[in-house]
Amino acid sequence: MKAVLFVDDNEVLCRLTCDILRLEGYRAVPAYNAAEALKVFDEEDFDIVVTDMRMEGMDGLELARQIHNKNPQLPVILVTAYEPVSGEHVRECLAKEDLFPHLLEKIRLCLSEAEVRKAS
Amino acid sequence: MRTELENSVSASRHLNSAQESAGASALDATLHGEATREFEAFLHARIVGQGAAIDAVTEMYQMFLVALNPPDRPVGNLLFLGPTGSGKTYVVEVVAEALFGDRRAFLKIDCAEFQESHEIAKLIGSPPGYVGHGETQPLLTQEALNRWHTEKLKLSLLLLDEIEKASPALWQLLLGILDKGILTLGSNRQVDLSQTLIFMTSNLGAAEMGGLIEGGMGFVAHPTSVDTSLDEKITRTATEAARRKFSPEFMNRLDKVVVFNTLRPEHLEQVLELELAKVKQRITHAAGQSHFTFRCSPEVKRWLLREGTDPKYGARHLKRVIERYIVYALANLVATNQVSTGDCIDISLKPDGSLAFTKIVAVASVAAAG
Repeated sequence: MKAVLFVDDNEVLCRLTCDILRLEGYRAVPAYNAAEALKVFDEEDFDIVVTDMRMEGMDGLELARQIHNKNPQLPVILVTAYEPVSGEHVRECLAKEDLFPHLLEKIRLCLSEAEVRKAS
Repeated sequence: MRTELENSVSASRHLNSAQESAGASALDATLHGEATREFEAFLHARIVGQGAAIDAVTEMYQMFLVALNPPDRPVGNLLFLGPTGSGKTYVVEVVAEALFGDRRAFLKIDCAEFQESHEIAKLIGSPPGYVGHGETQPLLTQEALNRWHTEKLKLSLLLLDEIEKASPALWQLLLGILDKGILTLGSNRQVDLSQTLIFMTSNLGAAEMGGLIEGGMGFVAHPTSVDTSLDEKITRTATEAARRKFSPEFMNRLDKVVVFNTLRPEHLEQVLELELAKVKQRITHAAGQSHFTFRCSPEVKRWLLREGTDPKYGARHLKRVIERYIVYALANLVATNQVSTGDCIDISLKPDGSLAFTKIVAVASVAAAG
């Protein structure tokens, strides 16, 4: 079962999204800010991280960078309600207004790519 | 001259009156203890249309609580048979939630993953000298079983899903587990299952059950509802299929075989209400804050039932339909800040068959504004 770490400071969104991901067959773990996400990341193994861009304390880009310091191969999807963001630590960027069902497709694609890379 | 029966009745009356005079009183062996009654009520509030399954689990739990379960064997060996979507796995999840506050608080072994005899190593680990010894962690260990134990409750729940797909090697293993409550791992360590309630599920007879539900062959109209005689036929079909497939040794080790009823329309309505209530709970549960709520019009509920259920698959798709049409939309509304704390979202059906989401001004806000 693939594991997804979903990070968003909106608790309701975080929980609803994790429930949807679980129903889709993923092991989904919520984190309500970047610091909590890094703590959970150190304790458990994940196949992909999905994070909100704007969060108090540390934004999604910095979180992606710190996660790649620990695991450079891990795909990170950034979700934002503002302008699209790109960068070396971001595999995909998704507008919040397109969250569902597009997030599911993005996660599936990122995980398939990661599998192919691992196999080659 | 008095007959033998009259003598017996007279003797019995004499004994009763002697007991009463000695302070004896009649007992009710059907009563459950308080903890068991609470457990039973919890199950009844969340499981729809499967009273026999609730009774079977409650009985086992009661026996466990008073330590009257048979020693040196599992607390109970239950076989759940029934059509797909009738809630066999769901019952185990609710039992886990009732006992440990978490629906995932059980160890699940998917027997379809052990269809080849060599795959048994994944379950118990490879013996010394075999490939993989010491490398792969066995799935069924004492630690995995006891993971959810609490100070008060040292009971483990083990779910063996789709038991009919188990390989012959797994069958041999199972017979030992069900009989002695002991499993020897590849490393020679023993796993004690005497504090474990074992649930086994099977779709055996699913094809025949499907035939019964769909109305069988010929020009018979498909039933839109399920009647009691259909449940009896399904019970007979499932039990016969189990007896054909499973050996007498296995059947003899079972404490109870429960055949799950097909869900009737009124049951499906209750399931829908429960699922919608769960979504509301997810929304309002965050850190004790009150968040928004939503309500579905009767047309939307009928539409969800039509999309998410049918006599053949029961309520299997209902949760997915609710997620896809209600929860996806609510998540998108939250993500785009279109709803906020205190809002009520009214969900109705548009003439074109799609769903309309409308924000209702909270009554409190209207009063304050007025």
